[in-house]
Amino acid sequence: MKCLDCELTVSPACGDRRDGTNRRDVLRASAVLGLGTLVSRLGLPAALAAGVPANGRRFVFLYVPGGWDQLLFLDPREAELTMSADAYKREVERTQTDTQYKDGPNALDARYAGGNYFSARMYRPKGAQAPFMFGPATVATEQDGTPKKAVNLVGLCERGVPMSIIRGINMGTLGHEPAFMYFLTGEPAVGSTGRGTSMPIRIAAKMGERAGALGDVVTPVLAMGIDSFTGNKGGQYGAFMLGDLSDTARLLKRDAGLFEHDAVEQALAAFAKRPGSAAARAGRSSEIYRQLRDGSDRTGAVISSHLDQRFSFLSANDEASQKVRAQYGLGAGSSTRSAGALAAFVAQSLKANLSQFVSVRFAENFVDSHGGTNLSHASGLYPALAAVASLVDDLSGSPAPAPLKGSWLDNTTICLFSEFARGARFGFSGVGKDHHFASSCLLIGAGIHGGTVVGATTTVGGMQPGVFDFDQQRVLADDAKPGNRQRHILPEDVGATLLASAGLDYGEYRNANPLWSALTQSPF
Amino acid sequence: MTTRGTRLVLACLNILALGCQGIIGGDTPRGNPSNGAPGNDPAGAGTMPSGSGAGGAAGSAGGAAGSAGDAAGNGPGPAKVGPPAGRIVRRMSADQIRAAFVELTGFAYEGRAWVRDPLSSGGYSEKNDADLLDLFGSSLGRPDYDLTVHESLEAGVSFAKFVEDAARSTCGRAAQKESKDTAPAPKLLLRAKASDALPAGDSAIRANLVALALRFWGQALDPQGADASALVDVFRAASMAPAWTDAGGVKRAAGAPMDGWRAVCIALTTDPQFFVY
Repeated sequence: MKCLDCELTVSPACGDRRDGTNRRDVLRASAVLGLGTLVSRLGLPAALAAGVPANGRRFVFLYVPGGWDQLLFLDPREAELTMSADAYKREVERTQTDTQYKDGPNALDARYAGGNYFSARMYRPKGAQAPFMFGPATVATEQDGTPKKAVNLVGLCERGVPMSIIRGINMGTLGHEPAFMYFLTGEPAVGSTGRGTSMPIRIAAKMGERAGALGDVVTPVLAMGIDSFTGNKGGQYGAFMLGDLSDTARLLKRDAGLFEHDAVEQALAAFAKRPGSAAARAGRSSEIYRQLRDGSDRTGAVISSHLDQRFSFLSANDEASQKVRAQYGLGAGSSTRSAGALAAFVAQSLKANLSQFVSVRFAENFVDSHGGTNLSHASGLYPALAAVASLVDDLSGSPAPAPLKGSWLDNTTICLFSEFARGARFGFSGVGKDHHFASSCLLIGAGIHGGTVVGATTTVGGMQPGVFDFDQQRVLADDAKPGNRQRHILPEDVGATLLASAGLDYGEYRNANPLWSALTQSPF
Repeated sequence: MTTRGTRLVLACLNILALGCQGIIGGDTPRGNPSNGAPGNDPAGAGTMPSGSGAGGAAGSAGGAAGSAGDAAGNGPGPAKVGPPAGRIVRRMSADQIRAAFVELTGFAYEGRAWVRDPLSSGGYSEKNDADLLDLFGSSLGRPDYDLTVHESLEAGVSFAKFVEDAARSTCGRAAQKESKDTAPAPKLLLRAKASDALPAGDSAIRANLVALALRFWGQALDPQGADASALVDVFRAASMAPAWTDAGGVKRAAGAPMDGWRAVCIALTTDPQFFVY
């Protein structure tokens, strides 16, 4: 099928769930009436936005540090697949890059690393159409090249999980920290110092303006091993920072040695709620007294609910913990910072209503492979991708409790990103790839128009970001001269897209434009 | 006519000025550092030392204690409780809270955690006595002075959890220390002895409660008032608790007066009055 408003060819696979009114329909109707401009001024955006069920939406940000190789994951080259052998040989001579992963030290076929084999294959999910395609690091295989029987992103896509690939994001820098902070905040860093507000906190604050949009969670924003910037947003949206899984207990559990005898605990509770206290006299009129009282009450409720047990899945022997370990491929010896443990932490945080906005950094999956090969990079990246697949599989198979509807994934938007990409060419010695500024990210879940690819990079000779036309939602030809609202896709556009996915005002990001073709949401 | 007009204008200005004084300078029983001079504190309990990184608001809190101490020794009775007119009640900052615990109990809230360590190969090392209120200061709202320079003074669940744990930990250590030796500068036993128990020691216990409330809250309680009696109830419950085994399997001895003072310390340091000024 053809996407009506973006002229991208999309398939019903990968969760292509767009229905109802879309941007082109609206513009067409407006043009018929000759009232396009007038309708816009009369509040059409608000009318469209009002239909979006943003309430209770969860957001997850998954960071793969180090700068991933996009040829191996989100931006593989398929044009070369259809070339004749001679043409491909000439292309390899021109670009010095074997994008079919078949020759020399960077071949992938039947090579083993990190517990996995990878195949010199690219993966287009069944039903999906070009240019939607994943690279060889997405799927671990057996030695003969057949995919391992494990959940992976390709299979999930075929099951109808909505996924959209954003390619050709111009990160504008080749430094790890500035690029990471730029993506996270949507504002270019100053040196290695981030500016602005982290994406999850921007969204949380924006949702906080809407009645009932924020869920009833212990703490709205959680950040595990990843920086977070509150910026100019309210302190209530500041992230609760965790180093690793074991830190969760600090928030959810009280050491046994800090408890008093039950009679004393009751006396302390009675003292806290005595009618003549200053807090009681201040009543609801004092915000800080209200916060302190509510915070104390909620702390008591959290501790007594034993929520911490939902996060002891690495070692506990109860049935629920065993199920988590099985889902995420965890063993008794798994690290608290392993990709699987972090992905399981995300799922538990959402399902247990610990948090609504969860960010994690896959700390053990550093892919900054300046001296590595395709194989070593793929083996470093794959555990993170496998963990993401397990997370998506888990959320899509877990019904969300009322008032949410559908599965947890139906109420959760996931953004998988790295700070930048790696160049197409290997180094002089034939191994290792340096930093490259044209990156990609993957959006999954609620509000995402599955099976879409937004943006592009040029051929591997340069692999430059393509110029994107934000009105037409398509990439310009390589030799076209950019005009108004035609430029590279930037990190702030991804931020605006995520806000727009929940029907939230995206003016938060100055000069940013949502990538509407990645969304089920109609433009507003 | 001109003179009368001038007088009228001057009178109006005077009224305005007095009004402003009433709002800005008047009725500020708390938050005025000048009232916090230790010399005004006959009970010796209102001397909340400044510094220790606590900054301005610790000075304010110290001022509050000193002011109330003056009232306790010579004044007309219980100080006015509640938000002072004309100023929004604020929560102490992360550093102020940490400094307050150190000053009032003699201990920082310590525990096991990974901390930055430039000498470690990974940049981090695990410490058993990490200063947790300092380490997790950002979760209490402390700015990093890199990107953010404004302290967040919201009080959510993470704030409540950390400070309640800090209260229980530091009060426990203070009580343990004072039960073992006669500290030259006691933190909990200001007007009572470790052997004072209910019911015989009621008056000494109430006197100590008043001194502690003055020191922790900057409030001069009526020894027979509702707040003091509520604290006596807490003291009674803890000092007369039977022997028990906690969830960690540790056997705890039956309550003694020092357990009562630990519980009173927890009650005082988890009350909202402790965190606001």
